Order: sequence, then C-alpha cells, then structure tokens
Amino acid sequence: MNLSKLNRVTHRDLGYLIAGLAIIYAISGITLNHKNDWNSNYVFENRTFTTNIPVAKESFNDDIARELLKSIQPDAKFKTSYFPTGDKATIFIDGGFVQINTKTGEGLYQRISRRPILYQFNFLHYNPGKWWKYFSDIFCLALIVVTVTGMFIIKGKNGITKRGAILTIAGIILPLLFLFIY
Amino acid sequence: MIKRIFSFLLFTALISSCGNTGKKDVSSKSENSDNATRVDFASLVENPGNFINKNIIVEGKVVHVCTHSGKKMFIVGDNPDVRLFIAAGENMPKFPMELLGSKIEVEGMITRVAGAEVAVNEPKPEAAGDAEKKANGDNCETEAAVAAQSSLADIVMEYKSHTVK
Repeated sequence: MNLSKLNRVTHRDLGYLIAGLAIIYAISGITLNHKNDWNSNYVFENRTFTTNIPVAKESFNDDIARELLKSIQPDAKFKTSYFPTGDKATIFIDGGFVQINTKTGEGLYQRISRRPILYQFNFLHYNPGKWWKYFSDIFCLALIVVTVTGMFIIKGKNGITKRGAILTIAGIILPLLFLFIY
Repeated sequence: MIKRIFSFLLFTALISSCGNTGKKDVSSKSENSDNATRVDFASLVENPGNFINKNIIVEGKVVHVCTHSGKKMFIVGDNPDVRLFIAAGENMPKFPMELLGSKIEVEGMITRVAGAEVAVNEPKPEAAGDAEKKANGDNCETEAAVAAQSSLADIVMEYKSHTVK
C-alpha cells in the first residue's frame, strides 16, 4: 500500500469511526456557546398563582406543606419543604418546586425536566468520568489525524499546494484575527 | 444490513435519551472513600475550622442547585439558615437539578475561601421568561444569603461523591 492510499484509507475509516462523536461534540458545543442565552440541559415550565391560604414560618412544616401542595398542585409528588428566614416558603416536589411568597400570597410552580438528547450530549461534553476523559482524548487525537490526512487527499490545483493552501491559511488567520480583536 | 444497523443505532439513541428520567445519574456517584470522616451537619456548623482540608461525609437536604451552571449546590441541616456550599469538581462537572429537595449524604474536602468567593454571582440567562427570571433571582438570593450567614459563609466543600438517602 503506498503512502497516498494509506492516507486516504486512514482518513476514511477514522472519519467514519469518529463521525458520531464529532456530531455530539459539535452540537453540544453550539448549545454550550449559548449557555447564557438559554438552558440547553433543562426545560423549565412555570406557572404563577396566588393563594390566600396563610403560611406562617412558625408553624410551617412538612405536613402543612403537603396540605398546601394539595390545594396548589394536587398531582405533584411531595419531596420536602424549606423555609429559611425571609418570606419565601419552598415545597420541593418530584421534578420541580413550588415557591410561595408568604407576604403577598404570590407563588411560582416550576416543573423542571431534562431536554431530551441535548442533556445527554452536554453531559458527555463535560467529561462525566475518568474513562470518558481518556476516550475523548483519543477522539481528539483522531480528529487531528482526520484533519491532517484530509489535507493530503486531493492532489493538483485543488490540493494542499494550491487552493488548499489558501483556504488552510485563511482558516488559521481567522482565529488569529479574533485573538487580536480580543 | 447497513439500514438495520442505522435503525438500531437510532432506536437505541432515542430510547436512551427520551426515557431517561435521571434517577440513575442522581445516585450514581456513591463510592465513598475509606479515609472520609462522617460528620454531623451541626458539628460542622459549630466548628468548621476543625474540618479544614479534611475529607468528610455530611448529610443534608439539597435546597438549591444553580440553574445555570449546575456547578453549585447548597445543602442544609436542621437550621434552614445555614447552608453548606458544595462545589462541583472533576467527579461531577454539573449537579443534576433532580437533586433539589433530596436528602443526600455527600463526601468532599472542606476548604476555607474568602467570603466573597462563595457568593460569586451566576451569569443570568438573558432569554429567560419572567417567571424563570424570578426563580433565578431567588437563586442569587441564596448565594447572597450564604455570604451573610453566621457560619459556613467562607466554607466550601469540594465535591467527591454523594448518595441519595
């Protein structure tokens, strides 16, 4: 097998192998880039309400919280309650919470659920464990190999010595420009 | 053959993502170290200095997980006004929101930091709705409350593992 064929075969097979992971990293990369704009991990469903049931810190406990929850969201499954100093009582439920301003009676019912697929992609992006860290290191090395071998696949006027060279240099200049701007 | 493989992969991906309620993740980091000391939350509140740079296991109720970064979690013991700040680390890059309201046993290294560092403000999502903003505003109140509390204001636990009780 000559060098050119070895290069092509390496690029092709490694490319197939890492395609799935490259897409996972690319999609989660986009969502994490915009993490200040929206939460790509969770969906928050909010409902505001007003209650006239009096809630006093002195008497507030899990039993009262359960009763209160029945009147606000009967289908919610009670977990626990929390009432620190201040005027906000929180009832934690499976998949969210209910928070009541005990002065005004205004409340917020928030359901929290994982965003399908994106949550899992982001989870992997954040290196959830030691073995994944090594696995993603191998992936990154493979990405370098695929990139470098890809540069040498085409020969002639569209190859790395002509058109390829211009585009490659442009691709290097762009991030350098951003470095100067920032 | 190729069609079958793709169909199988697609099916597996859908099943693993859509049907995942998160129960597994929430309780999966439960391998406590042998050298960790079990400490009552009250003892930690009373004498936090005794546990600096020590690996401890403490039990508490999760009252706040930072919505945005997921890197901060707060637990309380019997006194709802004294919260322990637990910082995510290599073992847990982000705390799952499902931990909210759960009673957990958490292991980690206790460290002392400058008070202001504990209450570093979370970036707020610009595109959040009013109700979400309101909820996030409350979250920031939690961090401000930690900075003002009588004990543990300058204490951070660097997370190692946890078990949901």
